[in-house]
Amino acid sequence: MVRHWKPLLFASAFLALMWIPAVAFASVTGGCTGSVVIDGTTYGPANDTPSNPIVVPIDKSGVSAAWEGSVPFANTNHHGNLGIVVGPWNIEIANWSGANQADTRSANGDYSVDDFKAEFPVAESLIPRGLYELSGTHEADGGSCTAHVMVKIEGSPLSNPIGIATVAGTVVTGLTLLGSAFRRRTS
Amino acid sequence: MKGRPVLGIISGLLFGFFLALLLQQLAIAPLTTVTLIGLPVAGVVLGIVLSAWAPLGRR
Repeated sequence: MVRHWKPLLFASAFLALMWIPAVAFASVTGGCTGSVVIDGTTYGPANDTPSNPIVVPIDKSGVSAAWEGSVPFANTNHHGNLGIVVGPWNIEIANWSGANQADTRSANGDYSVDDFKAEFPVAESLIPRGLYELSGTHEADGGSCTAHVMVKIEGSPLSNPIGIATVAGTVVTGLTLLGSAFRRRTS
Repeated sequence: MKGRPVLGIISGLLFGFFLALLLQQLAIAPLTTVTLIGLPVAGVVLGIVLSAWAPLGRR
């Protein structure tokens, strides 16, 4: 048993690393609320873990997302942004600002998933599938909110070149890593 | 070092990076700091340990 402590130790480390993201997320701070209905399913602040994401059915056409949101504070002179979390970075994908002298504190609308697909500079089949963490902030004279949710772009990773390259890269580098464990010949 | 440490470090780094991408593509974990930085670092450590230990091949 003592001989096997090294592989057990590193298997445990890998498992721990993989579990951390599943438990480390919080959702909305500052009292803001919001929800979106996509393809008949209602999503909200609770959709903030990898096992419970907002699902975007990108392979379907004609799907719309009915959204609504509100803030509990004076919303004049507001500004905010939304970004995709990539490692330690937050890549901004949208921002907004305005005087909002009427102090409007809630909004709603419809957003077409087809419009979302058109935002990508590549064909639909090349849009990377998988799980994304979105992080956003909203600040105004009366307060501020932060939020993050998980978004899953539905589809098999093997349905586009990025996914195929990822699977191939994992297999090739995994086998190469295994090759480093072979003893060198000593003459 | 009984195995191939340079190969272990480079392949471990790339394996960790591709594993992070694979977890994201399979919708298991997003590309957070833990996966995008942590997994390649863990891969390097694994490569060093495997090459130092070298449990495979002739003895």
